[in-house]
Amino acid sequence: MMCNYFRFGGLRNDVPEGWMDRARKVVDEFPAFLDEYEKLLCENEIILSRTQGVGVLSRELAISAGITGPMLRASGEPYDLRKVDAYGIYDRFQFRVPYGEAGDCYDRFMVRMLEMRESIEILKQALAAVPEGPVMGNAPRVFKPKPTEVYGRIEAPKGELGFFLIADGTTKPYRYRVRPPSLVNLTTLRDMCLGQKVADAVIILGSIDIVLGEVDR
Amino acid sequence: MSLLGGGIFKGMAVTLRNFVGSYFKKERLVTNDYAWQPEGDSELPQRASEYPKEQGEQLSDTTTVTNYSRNFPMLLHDGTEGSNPMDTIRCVACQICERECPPQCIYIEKMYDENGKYIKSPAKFDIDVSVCMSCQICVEVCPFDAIVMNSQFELSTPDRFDGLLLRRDDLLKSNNYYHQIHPEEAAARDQKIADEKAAKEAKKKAAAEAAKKKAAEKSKAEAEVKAKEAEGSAATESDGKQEAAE
Repeated sequence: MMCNYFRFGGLRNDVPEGWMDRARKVVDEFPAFLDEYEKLLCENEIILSRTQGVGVLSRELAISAGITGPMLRASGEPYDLRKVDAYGIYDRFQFRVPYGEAGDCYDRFMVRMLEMRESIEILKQALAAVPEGPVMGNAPRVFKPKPTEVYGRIEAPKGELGFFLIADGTTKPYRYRVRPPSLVNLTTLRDMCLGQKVADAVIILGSIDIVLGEVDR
Repeated sequence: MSLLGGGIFKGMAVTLRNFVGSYFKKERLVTNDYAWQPEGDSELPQRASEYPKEQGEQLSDTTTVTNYSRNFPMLLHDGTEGSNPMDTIRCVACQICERECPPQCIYIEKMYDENGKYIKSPAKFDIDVSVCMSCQICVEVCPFDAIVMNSQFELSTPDRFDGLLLRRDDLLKSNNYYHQIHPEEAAARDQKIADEKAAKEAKKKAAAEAAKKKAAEKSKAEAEVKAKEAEGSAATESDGKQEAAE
């Protein structure tokens, strides 16, 4: 999927034969695995005692620090760009936005568990509605924009993934900046770790769910 | 919560069920390392321990990976197995792919003969596959259909510098090999080349015919003019004769 498959205008080529059936199979089978994960983890007393009340991130701090994604929702703010912006075709899908109350590590874990079920719902609706037809439009290979500034953002698994572009009228951008969610989310690590045990620091860091490629800026 | 440790036992039951199930469910018996089936027996997935069957065997030299598999670029030549691939290489070292390559992993040197004249083929064509990101942009920009994607994926080597730098001779593959690994795409590409050639020839023919027609028209027009002139002169002559007669 990374091999330049998605591109301006559409896809490189159509999905392989039988791919849609395989995707539908995954969508049908995945909830059974989710049930298993929940049985395995969600009621486990060790996990409960190690995560509940650990690494609490208050709603006010989460908002003022610019936290986005499951971390913000776990802190009690039901903010999802797919609902707020309804970019792309997300206004066509029926899905719920799970959010927590306490803002601790357990809430962040549970928000992600619940989001997987919602994602499966979105995939189910999307697979049912995929139309037949050409997969590539007529996008120009070289594009000359007017001098302007643009900020586009999407809801990534970790939070708001933003792209900021300044065009100076040539085919190459004057400035191109990516706003990675992991970098911003990691900034509150200190606040969450204060007053906690050293052993909890690893759990708190894990509950932020960083991608080091995004943090390395 | 009913019993302390109840949640742990519940989780353990899941673990136990999966552990026992892995010995009885047929689809979970072996891990399928490669997405391919051995010839003949399509029941059981291939065991990783059975591969490679012989030292130095390359799985991906045969058509065992799917049609859609694409890994790193290769260069095409139109020759057959025994011939010198450089005689029929399609690449003309135009360096378009070198310029377009986003991670800049292609290095090309043009070939010159002893008089310093540019022969249309590459003296050097290196692709650093440790840098290549398999984006296929080189394939799309190539106007000569000389570079296409290979599906060979077993490139592991103990030498991470020279071993991962594919030279021109490593990259050269015959069109027949391309037909073997990506039959549909290769057929479409051949069709495209044939169409382009036909269109070019048709254009040439049309141009030649147009030129011929033009020439014919011109000569006809000239002939007409000449005929008119001749008529005119004949008329004047006859006038003169008449006058003379009067």
